[in-house]
Amino acid sequence: MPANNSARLDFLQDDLQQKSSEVPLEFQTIPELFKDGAFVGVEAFFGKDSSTETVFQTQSPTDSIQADVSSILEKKTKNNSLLSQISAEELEDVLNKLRTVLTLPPGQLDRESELYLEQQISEMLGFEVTNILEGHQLQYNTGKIKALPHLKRHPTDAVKSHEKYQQASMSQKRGAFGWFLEQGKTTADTIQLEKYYIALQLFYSPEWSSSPREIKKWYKYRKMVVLNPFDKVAVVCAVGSIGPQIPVRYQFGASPEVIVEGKFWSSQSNGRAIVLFVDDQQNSIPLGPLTLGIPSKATTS
Amino acid sequence: MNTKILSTTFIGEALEETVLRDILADVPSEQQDTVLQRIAATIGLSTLKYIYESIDDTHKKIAFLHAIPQFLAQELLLADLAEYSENMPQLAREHITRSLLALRTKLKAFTT
Repeated sequence: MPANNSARLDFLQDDLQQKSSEVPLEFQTIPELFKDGAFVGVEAFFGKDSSTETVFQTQSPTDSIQADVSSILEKKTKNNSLLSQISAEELEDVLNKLRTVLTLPPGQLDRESELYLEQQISEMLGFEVTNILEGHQLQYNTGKIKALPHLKRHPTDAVKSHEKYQQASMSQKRGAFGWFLEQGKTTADTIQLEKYYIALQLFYSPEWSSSPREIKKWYKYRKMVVLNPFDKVAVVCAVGSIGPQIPVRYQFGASPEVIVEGKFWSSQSNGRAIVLFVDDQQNSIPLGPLTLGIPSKATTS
Repeated sequence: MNTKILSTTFIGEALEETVLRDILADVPSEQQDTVLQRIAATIGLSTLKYIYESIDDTHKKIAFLHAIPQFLAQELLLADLAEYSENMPQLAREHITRSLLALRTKLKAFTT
């Protein structure tokens, strides 16, 4: 058997074993899937049909355990380098796909790209990103992002009190969602919300006309991720305002921190960005920039 | 392609044949069945996990656990997932498509 076919089968077997180790504990009560606490392997899905047994030559996890320890260790080392190689190529494929999408006019991703990219970006970032969250969908996923000034966090806020990028100046008005205060006080969390805010054109969204109050409430401080595949940077930010007002030139707006740290100023990016929802029900994902790199899971497994 | 392998799994009804053909194009014919089985099993297991974790109601979660053998035996189809939530068949199909596309990317890396 050629080496790459053997490697392909080993990869699929390892992937299956990894999936079996990640399933909920409750699954271990299902005899068709687990016997004596160990996943039965591919048989679980094909054992009922005797006609497929003849072509079935899979090594089950139980067999793996019984195999010679040194050969397992040797195989593992090979797979580690193989997985790193796959991840690097996969990453480049995903980034190229993202860059291609951004060469098109602003709009929505097509369905296949959307499903593929959601899955790949989630793996890359280590948390779930999605185009549709709780039935809500942005009018634009791809487009140009405008550099907006700092927002006033409270009525007496001054640009000097903002940690960085004071040259970006400050908006004369407060953000569309009000002051960045928590029970009347500025906190570390509210400072972060203003620091990494994104503005979306909710006024032009089709759902805005039917229920503006609900939409505004739902989007307030909703976590989003803004991707710059040209410079391999992503920024997790929160919806902190509504805008920009003219949808033809820019589809999104963002704080000076998002623009600078997300490198949207670069000549490669030229402000082009992909924006997706972050599914963070536990509120555990911090706001701020991230590197679009090889998923840590793949490089360490 | 051994379509019988696909017809013996509950996810077979959602797996995109064109994508599968694309994956198997680089695999020698004598290995295609094994590759196909492992793909179906990997996606099948992750789909069961995905469905289980997507069901909010505890009673329905338990009911789904009891129904898994029926899914494995092809007595139930993806459409039967509507019993747990209205959009579950669609969500499961999307998950299967996502997983298959991701596997295609990973397996393409072995083609040199």
